[in-house]
Amino acid sequence: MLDYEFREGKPLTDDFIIDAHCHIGPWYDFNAPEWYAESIVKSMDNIGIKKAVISSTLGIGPDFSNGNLLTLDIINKYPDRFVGYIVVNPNYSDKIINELDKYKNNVNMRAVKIHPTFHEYPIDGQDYRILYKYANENKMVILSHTWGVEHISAFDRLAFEYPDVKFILGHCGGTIQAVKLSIEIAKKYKNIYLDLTGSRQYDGVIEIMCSEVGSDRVLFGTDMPFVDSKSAVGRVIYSNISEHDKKNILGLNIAKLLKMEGQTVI
Amino acid sequence: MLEFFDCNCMIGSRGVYFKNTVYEKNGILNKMDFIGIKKALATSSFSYEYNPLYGNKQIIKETKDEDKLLPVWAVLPNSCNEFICEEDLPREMKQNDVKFVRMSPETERFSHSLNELVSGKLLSVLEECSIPILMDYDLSIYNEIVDMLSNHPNLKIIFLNTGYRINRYFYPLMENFKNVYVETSGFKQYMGIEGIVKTFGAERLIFGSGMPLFSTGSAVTMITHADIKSREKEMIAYKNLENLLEGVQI
Repeated sequence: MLDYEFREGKPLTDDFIIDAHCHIGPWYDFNAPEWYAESIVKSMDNIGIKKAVISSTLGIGPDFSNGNLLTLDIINKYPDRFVGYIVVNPNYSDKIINELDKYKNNVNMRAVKIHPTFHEYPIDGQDYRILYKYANENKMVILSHTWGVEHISAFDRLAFEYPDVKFILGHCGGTIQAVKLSIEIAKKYKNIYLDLTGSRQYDGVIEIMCSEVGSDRVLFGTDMPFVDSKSAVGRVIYSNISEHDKKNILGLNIAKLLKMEGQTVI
Repeated sequence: MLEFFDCNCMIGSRGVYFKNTVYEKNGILNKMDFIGIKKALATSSFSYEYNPLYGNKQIIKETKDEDKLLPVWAVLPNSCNEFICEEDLPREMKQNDVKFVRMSPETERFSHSLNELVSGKLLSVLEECSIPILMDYDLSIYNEIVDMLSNHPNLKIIFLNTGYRINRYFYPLMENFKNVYVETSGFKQYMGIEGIVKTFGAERLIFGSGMPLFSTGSAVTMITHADIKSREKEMIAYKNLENLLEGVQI
């Protein structure tokens, strides 16, 4: 995958490159030159990402319900490029089941996204457990934004309590200490997945994850339109791991997790 | 293939260690060869985590006889007589073949003000000699940066480790102060590089990797795959930093 053409700036041509952690829409606390689906698709083409799993920023922000509808609209407009995360908000706990039921048989909405930082709610709080119980019964995948050791620590219990939920640790907590702890927890529980997404792209981490956890539980994501996709792809492509491991991380893992295997992407 | 001249590299052991990261010189040189980084400005980690004077001596030792590594000195204002006297700094730099300095004034690092009372002498000397400053950016010092640049408009500053939330602060800064540059590895904002090239020109971006802590693969891919012209990629990857180096007058 790290060939002359990639070093020259050409996009990857493999059809399994899937971004496991992407957003669409603006955000309030910073400016980016572009925010919307058309730009994201162009950016994906530029580097060779074939599909992205998205949640709308409206959803992870103030309005999960309309945010999810917006995600569906985007998927309908670009059906070959996006699949969606259903966002739920523990502050509206009475609406969690209803929101999940709404998308239960919708093949375009494949997993759940939670944002305990923006929604200011503890990851192991009672209202998130409404989601976890449902997800456990239905064997779902949950991507959680995580930041810091405290967030990651909570999964040491949650992964045990909800063994049929596959938890993706978004950003692996971000800091070096949290990343280290994420690896330790992933070694203990097979239902923990490590997400590389984020702006702190530490060197050497991917290699450690592959050797101590296995590449089959490491996921690539970009966090567009917060963070640029190019850096996330480059980090994997240039890492000192096998081609097999790179392919797992760059798309085969998330495809398997979200039952997208065998689908022709483009 | 693009060649890279890296403005943001640090050599030496650290207090916080993550296994598999290469902190020592030979490992860093190997990584540079693999990635295609032809030259790098290198600061000593000891300047950063222990003492600038000690670290500056270390980096001279490390970079001696190494064409690919150019030494950077961490600098402090000498208000407490703990560093090199400002008037003597250019001479000492010349004797040691040092052409760039690094400043980290934020509270969690060297903890000093950039105002005229504290840093005025140092900034004047650096401005007079066209010595570029690599400055670790932190939001807490933004207002001081604006004042500093207003007082020293010819200072050349490359801001490192900016994060991706800087545009609302940096666009006005770059509009008003033409010698402000942004190092690319810390600036991982979505379409950030393209935005700056479109608004201010490719000459305002300087390639950096953040080696060894951060992925060099990330850093180079941001340039190789940027949606900009080839000539602009070359400027960011190498030429802009080379021009700054050639402009030093000591």
